[in-house]
Amino acid sequence: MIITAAFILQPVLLAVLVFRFFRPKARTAGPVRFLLTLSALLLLTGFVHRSILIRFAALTNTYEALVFFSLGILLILAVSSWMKRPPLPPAVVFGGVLLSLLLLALSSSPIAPSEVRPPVPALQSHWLVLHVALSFLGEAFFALAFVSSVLYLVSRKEEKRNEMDRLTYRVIAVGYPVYTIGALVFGAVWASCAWGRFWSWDPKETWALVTVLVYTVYLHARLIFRKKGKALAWISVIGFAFTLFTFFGVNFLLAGLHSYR
Amino acid sequence: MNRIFGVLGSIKPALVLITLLLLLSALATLIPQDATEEVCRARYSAPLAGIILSLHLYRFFRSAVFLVPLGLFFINLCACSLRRVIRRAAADVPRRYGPDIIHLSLLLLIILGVLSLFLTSRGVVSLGRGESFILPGGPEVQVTDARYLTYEDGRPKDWFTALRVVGEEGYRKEHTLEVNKPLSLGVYRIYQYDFSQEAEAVLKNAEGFEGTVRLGEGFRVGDGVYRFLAVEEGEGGEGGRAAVFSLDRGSGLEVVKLSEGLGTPDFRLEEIPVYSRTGLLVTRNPLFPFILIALLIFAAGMTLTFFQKIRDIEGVSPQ
Repeated sequence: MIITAAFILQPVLLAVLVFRFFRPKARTAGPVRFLLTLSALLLLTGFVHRSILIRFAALTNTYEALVFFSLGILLILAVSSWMKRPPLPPAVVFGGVLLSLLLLALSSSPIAPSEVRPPVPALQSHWLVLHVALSFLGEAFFALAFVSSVLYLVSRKEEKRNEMDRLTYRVIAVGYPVYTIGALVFGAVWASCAWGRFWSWDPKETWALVTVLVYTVYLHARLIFRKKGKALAWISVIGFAFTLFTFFGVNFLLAGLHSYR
Repeated sequence: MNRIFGVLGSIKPALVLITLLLLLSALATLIPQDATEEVCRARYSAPLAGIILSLHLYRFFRSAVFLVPLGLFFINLCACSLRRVIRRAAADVPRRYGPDIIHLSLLLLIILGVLSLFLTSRGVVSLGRGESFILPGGPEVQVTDARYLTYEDGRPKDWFTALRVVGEEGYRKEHTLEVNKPLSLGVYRIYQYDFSQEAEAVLKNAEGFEGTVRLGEGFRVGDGVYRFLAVEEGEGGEGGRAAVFSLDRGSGLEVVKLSEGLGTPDFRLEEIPVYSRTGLLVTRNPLFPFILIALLIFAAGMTLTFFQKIRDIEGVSPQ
């Protein structure tokens, strides 16, 4: 019910952002901030409520992961809207909310059963909370970088492109260490507690590393190719595609310890 | 010499090598790793199987196709890291130690990862209550209890094994092993790996001789061959267990279901004991603490970089 309420709010938020696009001078910053914050709080409440029901952090299946991923994006947008700095461009906020809405829609699909079930023994670990939470928070940053990269690629104005390029870099610069620590470091420590080895080249582990390496390429390429914004934007887009494949593709297409096959 | 060092320590070769490694690793996930040659030949066409086998792509992460670029990257990273430290020490620029710590920890992790290939070993042992094993050169580990708990819907809730470690001179240590909570004994670590239940059928023939047959096993009595197929809980007399056998007298299979205390003309089923067996994974990795330290250093470098980036973005310090 709480998650559904958040799901309903987001099209409203999108409508306000579209309205702002046609009426740039309208005072919509306040309503946008309010709706972002409310959506994030609703999802957070839903997450806490479900965690209480299963007596563990609600990060144990695809449904819960999708909800948390959506929550991560909204939290970043909401926090950003309250900070004393130039706000995020409305187009980026729109793209972020749209992604969040799509993730919530996916959580209602057959690929994400939403039954409330406590976790099996393999998932009963505090390392899971750190590993999954930070991974998805990092991925939320990558999602916003994806939006700004797409906006870079479709923009025709130099000023707009520069703004999107700077934003993409900043978001990835923050999301990269968060994701790397969550996915690789905490994942490796948990694997050593659960499976007896830090790293086993499982497809999920390998694709998480591939994702980190793509963003490593982005960050290092930016050091020497600052004027090749288009190439960098495409790397960011590919990075997010790999992020999604690491989340969905590996679970459903490849066999391994994280597989549902 | 400076020119060679400059080339080796350049970011451009690093970008090429990182891109190569990520593409190859992604492709490797499409090939079942550690499969046998027969599996590869059966799964792929002859030319493709030939390529996979000759390049050892079915053991990609131990093949030259992976290790050579990794080795080149290692050399490049060493040179890059050194070059970066020297440059920053010489120039008047803000200190950014985060990436240096990350690079150092990556070098450590690569070294430790390669050494792990040769120094680690693992094995699985299945034990029932009262059984034990002895670690090479180490203590005896006894299973004193093994429990398997389920949720109401039958899904596993928890399983744990109570262990008693008996060392030299009778030293004893008790430990309860659970999934995600291994036991450390020096360079060895013991994990709760698996859990199973084994059933046996205790049979007595007309002459009074008693024998035991395990689930899945067969035995001959007269002109018939019995096979112990299954145990059904609650299907026996007074809600007890029942054993299901197949009987083959050469004219087709027959199914025989017996409760404890009942029998056929050939034998009597005395009882059906069910034993819990716990699967323990034992690993030996002398590099474990060093890998953990390297990961911590890596995380510290990432965290430092994170906060430095936040400060740069906020405009507190120059980028």
